[in-house]
Amino acid sequence: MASRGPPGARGMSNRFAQFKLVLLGESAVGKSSIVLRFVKDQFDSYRESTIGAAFLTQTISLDENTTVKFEIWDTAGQERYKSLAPMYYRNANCAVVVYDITQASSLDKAKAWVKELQRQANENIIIALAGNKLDLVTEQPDKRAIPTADAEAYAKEAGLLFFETSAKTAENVQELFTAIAKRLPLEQAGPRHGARGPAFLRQNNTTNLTIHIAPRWPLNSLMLRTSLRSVRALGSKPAAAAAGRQWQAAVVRRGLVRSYAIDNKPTADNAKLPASETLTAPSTAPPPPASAVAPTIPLENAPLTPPAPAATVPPPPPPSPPLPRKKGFFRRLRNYILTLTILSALGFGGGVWYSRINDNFHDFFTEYVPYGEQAVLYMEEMDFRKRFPNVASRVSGRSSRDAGEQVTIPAQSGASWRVADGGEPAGRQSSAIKKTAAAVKEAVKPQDAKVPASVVEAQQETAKLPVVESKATPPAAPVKPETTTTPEAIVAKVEEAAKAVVKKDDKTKGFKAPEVDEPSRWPPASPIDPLAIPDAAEPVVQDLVRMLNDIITVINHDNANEKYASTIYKAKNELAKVGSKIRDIKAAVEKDAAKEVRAKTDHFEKAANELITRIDAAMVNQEVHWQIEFEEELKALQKAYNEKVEVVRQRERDIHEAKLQNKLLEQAIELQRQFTAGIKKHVEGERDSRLGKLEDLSAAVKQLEKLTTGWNEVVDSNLRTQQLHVAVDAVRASLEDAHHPRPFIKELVALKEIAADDAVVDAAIASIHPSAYQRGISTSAELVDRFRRVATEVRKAALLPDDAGVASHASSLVLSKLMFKKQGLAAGDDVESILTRTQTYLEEGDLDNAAREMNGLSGWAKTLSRDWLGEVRKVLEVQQALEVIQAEARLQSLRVE
Amino acid sequence: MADTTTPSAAPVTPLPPRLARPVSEALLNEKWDRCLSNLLIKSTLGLGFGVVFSVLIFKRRAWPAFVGVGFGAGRAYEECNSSLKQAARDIRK
Repeated sequence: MASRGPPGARGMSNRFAQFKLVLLGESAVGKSSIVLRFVKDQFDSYRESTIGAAFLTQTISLDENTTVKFEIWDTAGQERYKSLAPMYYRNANCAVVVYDITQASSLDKAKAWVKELQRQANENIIIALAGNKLDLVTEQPDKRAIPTADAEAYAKEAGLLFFETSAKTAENVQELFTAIAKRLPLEQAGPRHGARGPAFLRQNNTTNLTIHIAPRWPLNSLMLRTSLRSVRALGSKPAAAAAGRQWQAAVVRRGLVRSYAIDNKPTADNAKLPASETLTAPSTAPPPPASAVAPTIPLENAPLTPPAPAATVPPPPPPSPPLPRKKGFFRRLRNYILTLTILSALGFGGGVWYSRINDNFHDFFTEYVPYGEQAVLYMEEMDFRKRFPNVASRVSGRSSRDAGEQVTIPAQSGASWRVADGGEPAGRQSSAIKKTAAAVKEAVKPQDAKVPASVVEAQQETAKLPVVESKATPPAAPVKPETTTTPEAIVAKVEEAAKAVVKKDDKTKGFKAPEVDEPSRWPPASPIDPLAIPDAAEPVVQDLVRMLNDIITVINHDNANEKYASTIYKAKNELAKVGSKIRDIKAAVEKDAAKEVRAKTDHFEKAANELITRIDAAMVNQEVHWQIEFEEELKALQKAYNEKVEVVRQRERDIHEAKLQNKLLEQAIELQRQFTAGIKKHVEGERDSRLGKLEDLSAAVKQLEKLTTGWNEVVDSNLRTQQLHVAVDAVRASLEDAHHPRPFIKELVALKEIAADDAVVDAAIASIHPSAYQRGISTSAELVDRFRRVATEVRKAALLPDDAGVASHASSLVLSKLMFKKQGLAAGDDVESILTRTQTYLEEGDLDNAAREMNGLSGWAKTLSRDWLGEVRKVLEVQQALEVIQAEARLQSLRVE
Repeated sequence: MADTTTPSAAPVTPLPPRLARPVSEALLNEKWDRCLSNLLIKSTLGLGFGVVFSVLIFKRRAWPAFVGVGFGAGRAYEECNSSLKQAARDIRK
């Protein structure tokens, strides 16, 4: 089982996530097609409707490291399968609700599905709305029933992903699933829920594909959690680790069961799991015992888990001998607890370490692991302190060990105090500021009133001792009540005690003389008073004093006063002597120092004076220099300014002069203009009076000219008419002259030129058929000749009926020869009489009537005479046109006169 | 005088010479020529076929040749008749 891990588990930094996806929507909207397109990149035009549901898986990679595997449940859309849907969308991580963009009702159904999903499915479910069959709409835009904007608005409102897809063209299908994958919470992979098991058990009845699901848990992404959880599980239930194989199963299985708080469950699961596995996946072999170690290999390889716990986990406690043996049991228990402790410690340490690297794990660790937050916080603070030592002390304001050193340098404190404090334990220096303050205060006091702390201590010690000792010494009595009360009181009344001791010392000295022989009566509680020595402030002396006091105390304690009294007395004297010696030395040194200081001061003052004088001199020099420079600069500036002013003034003057000149010019121009105006007026007046007569003259001349032109016109038109007459005559002559048809186009062109755009002449010429003047027209003789030929032909066809065949033609041909000839203007409407009449007219020269007669024919007769008739008409047209032109010419000549 | 309103400047374009079209009075004659030539050809063809048939099949009898001529002449007559009638119809139109 574990050996068939997902491919993502092998890569070190790969992320692999597996999600359940369900497709919902109305029947026949293309759910299965979308899935088919997505999984196999195929399309099936005639797909049968899904029964129950179909299961498919598809793995896509979002980027190099992230792989997402979809377990796709393609549900049936038909209404009778609706009750099955909850089974499929339960625990689904994502759902694709499909509708058909060519069917308005499918969107309503999709909306219903979305509502149901939002109400009943997993609350973090990611729903995508897909409008399928986009290809139909792109082919025929009028097929669209649901506008994109509507669906998109709805999707936005309901918080859905929205795509318009086409399973046929694969448009947006891949994008749809990629968008879903991107939306999915990849960080918390392994979105399995406890309720999943039974659900897919039931589905196993409908499809036999579910077998593949169980072995492919995303182990890698679960590594950390499982390892941690295993540690915890072990901590709470030691018995869980008894059977190695089952424990491994529990580790893996617990990845599926998301139960943070419940630690009791795993034990219950342990017993059941192997059974359930064999039930769901009969094909997979039951995990062999040897493979129990196998899952630890990926655990070790997992990059993010702390390696130590993983390494220690694999060797589970060896299967122990039977329980009744108590010794073995205890040993096992001990081993177990030891292992557990080490494991949990390592796990905890690893968790702390890892939570500093991974933010998500940090959140998890601090939230769920006891003391995890404190540990992580402490580690972070340490880290921070290590990185910013100065900032840390400043920000926190806490008195660290180093802070004390910074404070303990009082400027006024004498050397004595420093040395005295140095001997004391470090812990007591926390109140050093107060002490120094007190020391300063006391330093101000007279020398004899000053009581060093060491002296006080010594006094306290000595004062305490008599308490232990017998109370036989009356001189010590005044001190005792104070010391016995409370230690605080002693401290508080240090000064008083000191004063009292001074007096007492005097007393003891007075005491001593009379009782020489009784050394035992020597007040043992009166050790050498430090104040008796004039140089009590000297640290060396103080040390000596303390030493001596200690000795004295010891002596007193041992009741050996008499033995050492003399020695001690001697020692006291020596001490006093040492004190005085030290004072002398000190005084000498001080004197030397003072002398040196004075010499140094003098030297310094001298140097300073010298410096000051030098600086003064330099400053004076500088000042003088500056003054000179300043004056020079001032002069230069003044000069420049003056120059500028001069220039400006000059320019101003120039401008003014120019202005004046302009004004003068204007006046001159004005004068000139007035002058010219006056002259012009004068000249005008002259012209009006005298030159007016000239115009009359020219008018008269013009009239004369007009008259002459009028006459000219008359002459011209006369000439033109004449010419026209001539031209027309020429045309006629050319026509009548000819024995054969001859073009007369030259004559016509000449005529047209002479007529000079006369409308009538133009029209007359236009009425002539072009073929007439290009080829010429037949003469009357020719026409008559041709008529004879035409007449014989027409006569042959004279007897034809309307719809004549070969027989009719033949009979007409034969019978026409037998007809009687007619003469003159024969009456009748038959072909023969018409022909005779035409013949007559032609002989008379009446072309017009001849043409009219021939036009009266019909049928074959007319068809046969058509060409001759056209010829005659042409001749007639020409004649008519010539007559018209002649009439016009005549009219024009009439118009002139 | 009546043509004063018509536009001037008659087009002086040379007319294309009439090539194959006969003058109107020769129309019928031409048709007759065609009919006769047709009759000749068809009759000859018929005669030819008749002769061939008579030689090959009918043991050199005369009648198949006559029948062939008859078929050819009949066909020619029919064609001539239809052409003339068509011409008459064209005229009336």
